[in-house]
Amino acid sequence: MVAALIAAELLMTGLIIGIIGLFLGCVIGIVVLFFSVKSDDRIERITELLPGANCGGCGYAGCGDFARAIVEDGADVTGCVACNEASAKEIGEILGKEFAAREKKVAVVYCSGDRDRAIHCAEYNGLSDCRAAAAYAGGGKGCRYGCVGMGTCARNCPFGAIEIRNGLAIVHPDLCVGCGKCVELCPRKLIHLVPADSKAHIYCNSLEKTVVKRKVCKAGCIGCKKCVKAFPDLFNAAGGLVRVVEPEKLTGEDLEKIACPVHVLHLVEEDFPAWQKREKTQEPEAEKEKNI
Amino acid sequence: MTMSEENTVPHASAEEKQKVRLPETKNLILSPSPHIQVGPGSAKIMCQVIVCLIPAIIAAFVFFGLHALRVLVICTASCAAFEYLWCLAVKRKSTVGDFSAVLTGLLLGLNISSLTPAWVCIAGSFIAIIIAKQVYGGLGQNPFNPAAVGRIAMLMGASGAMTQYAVPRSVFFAPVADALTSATPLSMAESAAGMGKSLEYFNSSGFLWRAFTGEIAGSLGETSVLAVLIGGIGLMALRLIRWQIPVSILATVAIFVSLVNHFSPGTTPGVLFHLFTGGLMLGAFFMATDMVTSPVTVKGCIVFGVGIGLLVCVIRIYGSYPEGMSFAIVLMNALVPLIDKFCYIKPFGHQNIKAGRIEPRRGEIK
Amino acid sequence: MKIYNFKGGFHPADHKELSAGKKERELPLLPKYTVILRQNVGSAPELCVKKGDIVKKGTLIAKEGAGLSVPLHSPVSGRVGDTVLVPGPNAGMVEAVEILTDREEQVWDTSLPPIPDWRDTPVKILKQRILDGGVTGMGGAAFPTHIKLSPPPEKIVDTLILNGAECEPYLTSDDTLMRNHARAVLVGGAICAKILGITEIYVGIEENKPEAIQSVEQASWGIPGVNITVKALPVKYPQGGEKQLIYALTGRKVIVGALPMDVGCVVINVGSCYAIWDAVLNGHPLVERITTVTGTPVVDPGNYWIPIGAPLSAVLENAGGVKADSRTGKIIFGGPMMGFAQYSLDVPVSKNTSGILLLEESEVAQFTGGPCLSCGRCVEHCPMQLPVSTLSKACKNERYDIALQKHVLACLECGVCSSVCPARRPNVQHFRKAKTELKELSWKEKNKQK
Repeated sequence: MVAALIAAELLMTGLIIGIIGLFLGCVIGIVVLFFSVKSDDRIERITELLPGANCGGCGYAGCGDFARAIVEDGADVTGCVACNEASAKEIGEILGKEFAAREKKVAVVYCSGDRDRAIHCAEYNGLSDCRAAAAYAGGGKGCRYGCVGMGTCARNCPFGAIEIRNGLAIVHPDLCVGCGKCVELCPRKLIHLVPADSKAHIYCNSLEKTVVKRKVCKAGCIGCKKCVKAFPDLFNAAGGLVRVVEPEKLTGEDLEKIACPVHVLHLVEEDFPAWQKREKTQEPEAEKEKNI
Repeated sequence: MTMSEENTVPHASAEEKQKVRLPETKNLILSPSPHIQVGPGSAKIMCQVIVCLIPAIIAAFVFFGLHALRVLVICTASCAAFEYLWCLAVKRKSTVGDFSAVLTGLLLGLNISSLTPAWVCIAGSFIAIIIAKQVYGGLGQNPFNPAAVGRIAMLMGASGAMTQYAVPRSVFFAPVADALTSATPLSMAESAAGMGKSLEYFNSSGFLWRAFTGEIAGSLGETSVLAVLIGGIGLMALRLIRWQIPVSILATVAIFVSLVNHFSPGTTPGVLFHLFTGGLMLGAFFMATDMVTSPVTVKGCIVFGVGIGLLVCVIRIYGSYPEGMSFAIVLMNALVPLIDKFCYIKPFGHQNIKAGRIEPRRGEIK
Repeated sequence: MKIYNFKGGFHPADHKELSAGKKERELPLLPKYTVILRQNVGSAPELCVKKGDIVKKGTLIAKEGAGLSVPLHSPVSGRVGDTVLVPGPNAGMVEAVEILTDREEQVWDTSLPPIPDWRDTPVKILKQRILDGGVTGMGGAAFPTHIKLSPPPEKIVDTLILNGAECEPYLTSDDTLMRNHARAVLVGGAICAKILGITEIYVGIEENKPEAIQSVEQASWGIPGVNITVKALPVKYPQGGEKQLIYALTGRKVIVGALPMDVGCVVINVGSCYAIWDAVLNGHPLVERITTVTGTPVVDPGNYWIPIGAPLSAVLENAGGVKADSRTGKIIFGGPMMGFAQYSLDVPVSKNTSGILLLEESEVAQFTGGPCLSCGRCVEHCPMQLPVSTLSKACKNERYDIALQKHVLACLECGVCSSVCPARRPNVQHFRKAKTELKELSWKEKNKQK
């Protein structure tokens, strides 16, 4: 008897709550019908196709703003550096336009001076921020062109592609999309955008004379020009510093032939030993581009 | 500058040159200005506050014996332990070394009765440290006074266990009642006023002297006004607190209570009774003045103090609780960001923008 | 005359007894001087001599550049050497030119003739002489003085203030100048007054320099054309900051974002006045300055006349070096509150090096960047009455928009807030960074608009 009463009460409660819920649902439905904001649903679909990292590489305030610009102002989809080809094609289909592929670029830090190889000239006690420390001799680092290593670029990378290894910033090319934020932030301006399939670089940024350079860093380019003599078209010498002109054309065998005496010219993959393991198990060409 | 004398290149003798020693550049520190610092660091400030609490701790031991020490030790140890465990759990460097957990533990212990069971102390410490402080981000980020929040939580959650107060050991005066526990003077006065009885006893000089030295029932720190005052004067002398806060609290309470007694006599005992009983003194000098949860500007501190004074009186006289200091402190802590905003001091040379524009200098944004 | 007391400021220990009252000394001649080219706010002067040229003491070696600039002169007679890169006083490598001393008599270049009758000389010629003398602000700011003395015509200037406050601890160079060369300083000030066309001069000196006050008061008799009032100011750091000094002496508040000339005042350091006197009455351009070499580790602290371009190592050697049992933690160019820390002994002395301070390791400030306790000491002691704790938290979280709204640009970078902070937060570095970021942002916005 008591059980039946309790059951009846529970049923009544459930029924009342259910009816209230239904009623409110109907109210919401009516409100949505009458008060919804008219928006172009293409903008929403394009926003979903874009990477959604809001990195600002396109020059607009986030992916939503860029989608609006594409639809309303006719902006070019290739403005988004992080967008991969498949998404770009789909966005083209939505708008009924054709979009050409964009050359993918990645960032690279032209410095090899980590804590073991670069010599510090003073103890620094202040903010752990590269831009703030740059006013104090780069946090006490002897080389005035070198990486300060306090991680401002790494903290601000929207894709988490920069690693600070032993006081030196290293960009992971597989995670980097080339948005250019780190390039702007670096106080020493030693991050550059290079083609995504670059194989090797000269990781030094110092324009000092070799004698001065060697006093402050054991890993800098000494300007011996062995590389320039071996492959004059692929290298460009400017005093004590040599730069690779076309980094996508260099191969491992070329580097072995040159045999850079300080090893400042080395393959990109040398910084990432995990790659070599991965390449053995996967097919070499299908490096799937991730739309982050 | 007259250069009439000829200056030739000095020929320093070899020994003289050897004696001159230049500084080692390897040891030089490169850091931004300023290059000198004055004043104590955070940990030292906390230690100095703890030292100023020692008179109150001694008084608690004198009147309540070993039970007082038991409560204080349990509270302090569990506060420090919880902070250490939290830092382990979130993988941060341990912050127990800045002594803020120890201070919170001591204040928490001084705010509760000596008969509080151990599990209540530990639960209160947990709430004070973890819920009221660490969850917000640690020292400096909490909006509410951790000790006050812990005490309120203990009062709400274990009110039975919390409202048992021991009778103090009779040191200066004759014992009042032959019992082990008793109600605090505040609750006795409230029930007396509620029943329409006379409040003569509570205004008598005999009682007030007992209240001043501390030989009344109550929590460990609130009984002895003398000990708290000694500590409070120490705090003000060492410039550890803003004196505006305790002075404005006490002044507001005094004025409010005298007004109440003037317009409706018999509602509540007199000014001195209110100043000497309950957690008013301890709260005014040690808890309301907690730097993290009090306003930054002096004007703001005065507003804060007046607010606390008003709330305490209202809760005590018209509210249902006999004691309202912890509630008053926590309620005013909630208003501190607003107080800071409205008592914002204008920069030197600030001009009302409506009163005219000045051309910004090079590099400044309009 | 009423003295106004500004809110804020603090009282660090003086340590002036280490070097005050001692006889001025000169640095002996060195074989080589490395003169930094850019020693002023603004653009660097352009080198107009080449390697091997013979120069005399005071010969022009670099002409003033475009914009804000002053010329540069040789500190000794000798030959011009190479253009090199040396560590600069602001922790970077800067261009400098070497001057090699010949073992001869030091001869002054006479291309700038003395002007003894400056009272009857036209203002234009006096201003040109100040520019030709390469005079910049000697208190540390290094702002070209001839531009400071040329306010735009719409700003009516009626008061000249000579800054003899010297509020920084340890420094006594201005004190020494005022004690021993008060007349020269006041004549320099009178020249400035003539250029500005005013007759009221106020000299502000802190109360802890009674000899200097007496000396200046005695020297102020008998300088025609100007009315000089010497005022003793309460000892407080930063009493010598120009906004605080103007308020103390005249009660006028310089509005946030405006300049002293907007309230009708011009503030000149007493060292600059001395340099102006030297340039006008003796025809000597600015090539030498009095600097306090002091600090607990220094064997023989005192005030020295040092030619620009003398390397720090030579200056310290001349001051007896450091004591045997000391560990130098910092070498600072300037005072302990606003000076710049150095990391190399090769950095040369410039026109605005008012002091060389060595601090023992135990005396040096250690920044740990702890959590802000909201204790309010920074707000209480800030001479500009800024909400420092809020600004510090905003800058730490890179919210420069909030910092701008709360007037971070009004910060003097005096260093009081970081000095008194119990949590040892590097507030000044935060605000410097905020100002740089905001400047860059506004530059980017301006370029975008173009």
